[in-house]
Amino acid sequence: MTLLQLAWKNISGNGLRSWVVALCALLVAAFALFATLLLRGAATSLELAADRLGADIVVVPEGAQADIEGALLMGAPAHFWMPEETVRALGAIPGVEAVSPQVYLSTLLNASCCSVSEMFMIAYDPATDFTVRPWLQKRLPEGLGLGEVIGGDYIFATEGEDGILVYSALLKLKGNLEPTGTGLDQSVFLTLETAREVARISEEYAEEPLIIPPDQVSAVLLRSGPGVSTEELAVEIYRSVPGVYPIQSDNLFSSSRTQLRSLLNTVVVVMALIWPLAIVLIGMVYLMAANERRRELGVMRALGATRRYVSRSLLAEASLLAFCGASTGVFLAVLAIYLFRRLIVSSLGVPFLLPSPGSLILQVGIGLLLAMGSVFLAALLPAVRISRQDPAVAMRE
Amino acid sequence: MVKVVGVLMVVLALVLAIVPGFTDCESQGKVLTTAQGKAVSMKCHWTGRAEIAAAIPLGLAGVFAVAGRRRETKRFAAVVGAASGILAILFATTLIGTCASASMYCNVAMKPVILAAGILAIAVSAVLFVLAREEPSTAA
Repeated sequence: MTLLQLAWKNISGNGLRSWVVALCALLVAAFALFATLLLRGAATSLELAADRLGADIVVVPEGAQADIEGALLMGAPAHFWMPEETVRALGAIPGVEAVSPQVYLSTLLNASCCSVSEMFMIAYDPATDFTVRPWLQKRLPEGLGLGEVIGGDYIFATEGEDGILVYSALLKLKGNLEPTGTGLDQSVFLTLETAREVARISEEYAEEPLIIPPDQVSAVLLRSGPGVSTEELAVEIYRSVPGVYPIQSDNLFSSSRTQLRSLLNTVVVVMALIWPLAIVLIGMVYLMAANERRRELGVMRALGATRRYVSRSLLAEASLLAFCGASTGVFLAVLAIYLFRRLIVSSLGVPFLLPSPGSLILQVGIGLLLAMGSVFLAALLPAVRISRQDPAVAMRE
Repeated sequence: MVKVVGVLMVVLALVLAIVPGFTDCESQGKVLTTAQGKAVSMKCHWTGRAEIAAAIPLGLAGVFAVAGRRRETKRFAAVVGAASGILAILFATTLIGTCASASMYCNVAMKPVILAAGILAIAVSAVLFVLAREEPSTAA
């Protein structure tokens, strides 16, 4: 009988003990992996969203900071306006290299004139744009024309092969962007010219007209010149242009970053409680098991098994149980995060992006090792102790 | 161990039968309105109904796994359980499906629950099939 066969026999021989150990390994592996995947997925998503925005500073009307975060992160429709003159005022500030206005719109809720309810729409100015064009260039080198839109990862054509109905205007969906895990995945991008054309059509045909106030914009995206401190530039904007609030790209999504930090702290605290508790519980279970099996292990020693063999058989049993429990835990964690990611995103209010296969394999490996290492550590002391006992004394007891 | 697996199958069957009824778009007050103004259920609602047809054999397989004494009975229960799991997944993905938009509630809540329950039903049935070899055979 090999060591593993012996370990398997012992596992099947004591169901309750085996269940407790496997369950502890399952909990440690599942919780550690789930939390890691969730937090890393949220952090990656935030970075990607900030990168896609591509501006050093986003200027919004004062009081609209939370609205823009909600719109860009969760795709919640936002409507805020500031005078178009702001664009010129911002462009005149020393240190500003480029400025480009954007207009934020949304489709109607449950209206037959819109294919998708409350879809966030970002209208940009192709003449000055420096944020949308770079990532459009990969897919659409010619840019977007009149009546054309490009959608986030979740946007699909509803009318024919590539049509999407917006305020009764049939727009052509030219393609989809890479997923970011944020509200940008549920948004469409269009030129200001297309937005105005949609507004014109909506006045006659839509259930409610799309209103774009004349000479108003929602936000201004700004790029600073080389060597210019964005922090100092933001202070200068706040000081010299009244009624606006400059958000540095590093500070964008600050509420989500704060939420993520508090989530991380909670996970660390829970892990700090679960991990030692699991090790202590498994250690106690093995200590009891070792005491129960003194006579059996004494017989093994008397039949010629070495101390090393006895301790190795106990550790093999623990490792096998840990592997079964941890594998199940890892499987459940990956299944839960993969299937329920959208529910988690909407419940926690943080964006989330699935990790790449390489990163997932690495994290799964770490989760497995953590759980198996914990069980091995817990079973080590009882295994060494029982292997050191005198066989004659053990058999008499 | 076999009994635990059987109970798990019954629990998964209950999840498949009950949860879709509370997580489809209709349960959230969303229905299609035709040009004539008539409210029509969306296809996720019918997927939810069809899941009951997959849940019944899965639940029965669980009962047989708990109450059955012979290896053949348990193996048959395992095959039925796995087939029900596959059927549950197919109803939600290929045979009927759910609403087209990924952000609809049925895609956020109902479909993941069905897929998770279906995958777990298949995994649990496979475990039952393996464990059944330790049970006495009819021929024995």
